[in-house]
Amino acid sequence: MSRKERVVMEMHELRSVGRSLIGDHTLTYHQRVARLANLAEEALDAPAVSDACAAALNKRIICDMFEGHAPYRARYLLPDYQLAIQQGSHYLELDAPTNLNEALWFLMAMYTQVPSITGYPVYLGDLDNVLAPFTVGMTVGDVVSALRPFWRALDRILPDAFVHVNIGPDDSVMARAVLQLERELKQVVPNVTLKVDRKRTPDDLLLDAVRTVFESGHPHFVNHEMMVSDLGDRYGVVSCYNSLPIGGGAHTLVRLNLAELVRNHTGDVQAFFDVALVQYVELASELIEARVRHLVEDAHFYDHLWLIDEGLIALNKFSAMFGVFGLAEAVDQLMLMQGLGGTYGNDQIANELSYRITGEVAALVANRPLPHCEANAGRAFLHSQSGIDSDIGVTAGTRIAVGSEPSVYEHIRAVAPHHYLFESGVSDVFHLDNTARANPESVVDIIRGAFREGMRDFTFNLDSNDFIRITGYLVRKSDLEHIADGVRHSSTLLGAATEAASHVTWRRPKRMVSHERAAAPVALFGAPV
Amino acid sequence: MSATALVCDIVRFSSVDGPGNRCVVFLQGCNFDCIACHNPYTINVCNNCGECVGVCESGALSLTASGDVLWDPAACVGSDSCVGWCPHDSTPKARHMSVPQVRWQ
Repeated sequence: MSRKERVVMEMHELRSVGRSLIGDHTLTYHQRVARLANLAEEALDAPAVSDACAAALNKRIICDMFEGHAPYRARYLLPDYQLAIQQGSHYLELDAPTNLNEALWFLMAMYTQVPSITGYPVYLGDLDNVLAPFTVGMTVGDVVSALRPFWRALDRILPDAFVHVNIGPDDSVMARAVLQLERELKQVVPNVTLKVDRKRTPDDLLLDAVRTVFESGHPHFVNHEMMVSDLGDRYGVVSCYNSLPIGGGAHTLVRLNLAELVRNHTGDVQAFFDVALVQYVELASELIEARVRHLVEDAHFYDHLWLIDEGLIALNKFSAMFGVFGLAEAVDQLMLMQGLGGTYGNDQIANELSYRITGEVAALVANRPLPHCEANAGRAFLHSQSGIDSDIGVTAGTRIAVGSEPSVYEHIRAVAPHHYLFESGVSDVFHLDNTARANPESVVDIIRGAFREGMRDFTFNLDSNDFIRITGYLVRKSDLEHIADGVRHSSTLLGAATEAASHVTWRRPKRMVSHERAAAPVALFGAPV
Repeated sequence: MSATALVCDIVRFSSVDGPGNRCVVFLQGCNFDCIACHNPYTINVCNNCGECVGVCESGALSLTASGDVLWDPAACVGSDSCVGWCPHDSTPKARHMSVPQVRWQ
């Protein structure tokens, strides 16, 4: 199905696309069902917006993430699993669990009943906190044994890499068991985030997590103190680096393509800030408002939701997400308009320009009231959106263009000043060379240093394992090789398209042997030639 | 008036000089002359022989009127051709720095 056009499909086209989906042997049964449901939604009228907004959407300057024409479920929901475990569930007809085994089955049953934009739950809970009452007196080995079948089942029952578990910031047998299982099983699901606090997270736990990344690409790291100061201590990281309040979530995500905005801009740099940016932040906000109103007021999603009835989520803990992407191309283009050749990530003037852009967007978003967004005082959460499969030639979020990344220190310094603005998440992927394996402590130092420099989110990976981080989710290289035969994880299909379009495997590896010179033959033998 | 030392290079992020991530200050001049030295260009102090000046592809090296080799950091592209060529296990890029200067770096 073409994702380029927003016009409502004609019946003959709908039939033709439906027929080809049904006949697509590379899709599993469940993948076909999900796509047929999307197709049906595309046949409906989208929420009404102004002509200017519709035109911006058709040009893809603003983008609704192809969530569908008729929003009928929230994009991201973060149920309060801790509360559910304590009180049991009338809806699920399950009493409060009394031991670890019961708790795991309780959670598994609950996961299958939590909606989201993907059809799978994007948040599985802060499992160390949720399960802490049931692991008293257990060793890491005990917990690993109890957790292993559950962990395998998560990957098989919820085959979608946007499914996300949180651990930390405190050390616990559960956090250690999760890391050990990640190393052992090397699964795509669940995605894992470790919350890192300067004081509460011991180096030893962080070291364990870094070694886990070497094997499995998981976990992702977040700056706990920064998150707490923006979202309070009850927050979760879900899907691809989306940080949101537990017991709430995000109705929808609309993103502004800064690269496309600059490409369509005819005035000078000042006019870009004074006119274009102001106009298009408003158009994106208009689209958010239309979609949120449809979800809440027309589709009545929250009126008939068991999670609301049982107090596991609340409408006043929801907001919408305002995403930006394509900053790198936008900055480079604006530099050229001024006759400057510096590029984002590698030039101080370009970097300053990038901070001005995100700062302006943040100020505009903070001044635009939106309905049903009480979780952020009636405003959207700002988000650095990490890309989707159909993005071509445009860099994710506020990242530096793939292949142009400077060395670690310069990279951190260049991107960190953006991070405080994006309370609902921002991502930069650091691709380290294999030398890191011999010195995991150095990566611990880099993570600590990055958070001290003001980074909110930190992700790294090595060349040498089977995993590629696409936007925020992971796929296995070995799965990509078999893509033509179909794959079990729906996210791997997206990953294959992204790799084809954006070459995320071309990220420039950081030389961990920084500036050290290879010994030349002349030097080795101590005599000049 | 603070004391200075001859600094070969400052490596901000080193992961090969011990556990963790280290900032390493390489000093110029070493009493040893190990055959397997990993950084042999740190062994001797430049004797201004001028051999490296012609090797530099970016014109960052020149000879002063008094015959000293002068390095222009702004023109340098970091190819290390000079270091590879040096017949004396040295570098034209070492500079005298005080402790405050090193800390500022």
